[in-house]
Amino acid sequence: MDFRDPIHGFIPVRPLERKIIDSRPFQRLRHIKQLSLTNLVYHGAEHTRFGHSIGVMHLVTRAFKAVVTNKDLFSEEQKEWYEQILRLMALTHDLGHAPFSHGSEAVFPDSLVHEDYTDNIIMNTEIADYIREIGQEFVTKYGEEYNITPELICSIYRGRNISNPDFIFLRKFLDSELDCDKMDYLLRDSYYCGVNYGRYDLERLISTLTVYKEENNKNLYLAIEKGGLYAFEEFVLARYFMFIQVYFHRTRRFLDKILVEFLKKNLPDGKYPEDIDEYLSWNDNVVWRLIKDSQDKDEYANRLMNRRIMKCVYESPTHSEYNDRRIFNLIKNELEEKFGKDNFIYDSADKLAHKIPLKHTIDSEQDIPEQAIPIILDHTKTPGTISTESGVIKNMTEPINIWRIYAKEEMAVRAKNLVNDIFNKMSS
Amino acid sequence: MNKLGRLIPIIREISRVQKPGKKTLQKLVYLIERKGIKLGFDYSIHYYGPYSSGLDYAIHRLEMQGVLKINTEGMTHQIVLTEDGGLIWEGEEETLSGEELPLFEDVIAKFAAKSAYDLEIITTTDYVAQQLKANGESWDHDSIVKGVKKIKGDKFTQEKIEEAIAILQKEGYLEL
Repeated sequence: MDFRDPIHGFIPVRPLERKIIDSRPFQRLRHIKQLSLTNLVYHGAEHTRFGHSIGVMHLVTRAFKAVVTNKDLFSEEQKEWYEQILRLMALTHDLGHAPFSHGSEAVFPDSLVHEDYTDNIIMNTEIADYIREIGQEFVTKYGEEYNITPELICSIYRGRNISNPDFIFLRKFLDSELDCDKMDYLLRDSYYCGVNYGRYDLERLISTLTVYKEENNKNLYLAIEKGGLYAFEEFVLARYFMFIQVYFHRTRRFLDKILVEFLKKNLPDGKYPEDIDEYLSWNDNVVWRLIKDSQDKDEYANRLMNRRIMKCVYESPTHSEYNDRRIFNLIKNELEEKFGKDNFIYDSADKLAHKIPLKHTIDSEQDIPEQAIPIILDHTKTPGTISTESGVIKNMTEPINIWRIYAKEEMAVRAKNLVNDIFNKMSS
Repeated sequence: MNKLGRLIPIIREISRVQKPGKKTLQKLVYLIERKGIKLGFDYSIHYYGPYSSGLDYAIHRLEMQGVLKINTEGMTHQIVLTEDGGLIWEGEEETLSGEELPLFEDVIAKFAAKSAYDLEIITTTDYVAQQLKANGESWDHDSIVKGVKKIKGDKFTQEKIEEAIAILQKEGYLEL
């Protein structure tokens, strides 16, 4: 059957995959917004992890087919098996997200990350049975070595499977600088936010995906043909713009910040439960109910319910350096001295524009080329690097690093004036 | 856990022995964590052994905070601590506990001077052994050698893998 998707059109879903989609843990994703509270800034951002998960499954299938078709990399059985593994990894990769996706991860129990919950859900709920059913189909068709188990899906996705180096390659489709997770969320988030920042030429990017095989051993790298370099540059730039314009938007950051403060005070022990059944009962709606019920006694709940945003009285440069943090600290100290600590909220948001090593040799003695994207050239067997092939990406070396200070409304004007005075003094 | 704060003294000590590249630092921090000094990084297997994207990002965060510089020299990314140590040097650096310190010093003494190539095979061998154990599979000498060869192909000789197993046994990482 097909699922109609606003980004990719009709997405074919296989009958046993449909069982996963219809399961309680997967249906929960309908109630977890992809972009946390961004809908309070860009009102269209109502989309959820549900559509994204199906979208990534679709893209990973397209990308894998584009890479392996007409190449002598794998047998037909392997191709079918790897494709199914990738589809299941993609479909299940976000099952462990907390309410409001990344927005409330700060209240996970110590040392847990959402991927730990994902593993637990895949291995210990009905999802496990449906994956085993798919595995049994492969066993019947091709033999025991083509089994697919929940443990296999988790171990490949988390990069812990040591039984087959091809699995390292498969993981690149879902976790690399050229992965289908990013490909989907950039287009999806742009569409729903009503912005163009995250758009890029998906068709060109996928059609120029390829593989680089090291001569001396069997290692496979997800690579791009030289002809796709400009689509790839567009893709990297799209992500950069989305971080600056949407994901790190000042109001969205403020809302996420107070959501976390609210949850710390109002969740049992200030954390989400570790128990997987209890955890699965949490979604955005449950948290909103808690917020609504607390709005008369909790300032953060009241701010969230009524969209009362504290004023941003200072924002550092987008690519602030550590001297900018000195300035931030100076402003922070002066504001607190004059108006008191409780009137301010501080935020810092950072992200690398990309993680691709600029210069690398694939088998480097000193460096780690794990994040390298080989660029396949016509005239030589040696792949190109970002340093030699892309002036745009080569120069995107400064990380996004934004520091902000928010002040309560009643002193926002005076606080802003103080910030202006500090800058005037510094420039005179 | 203050991951960044705990990482600073570790990088400083490693830097006294050599100017580490990213690869060397990854492998040494892996060995330090395996000794029980928890820094909270999650390692996955890559073609060049265990690798933590979280640790890689932590190094970049320390650069943003002025604690270190990542210099691109030739084909490598070399990590060098800044002279003034950045803003978090004084207040936010977290020293290792009395129990952790001797374990850490032992790793530095035994491994910090080794080449990235040697550290790659040692950490890969250890990672393979740990995964075999975690999966409930046989993790004797031969299974470990076989497991390393699956990941590494012909990059390392049988002797080199056996040498790595011997080092790991001697230093208390492996009990076969």
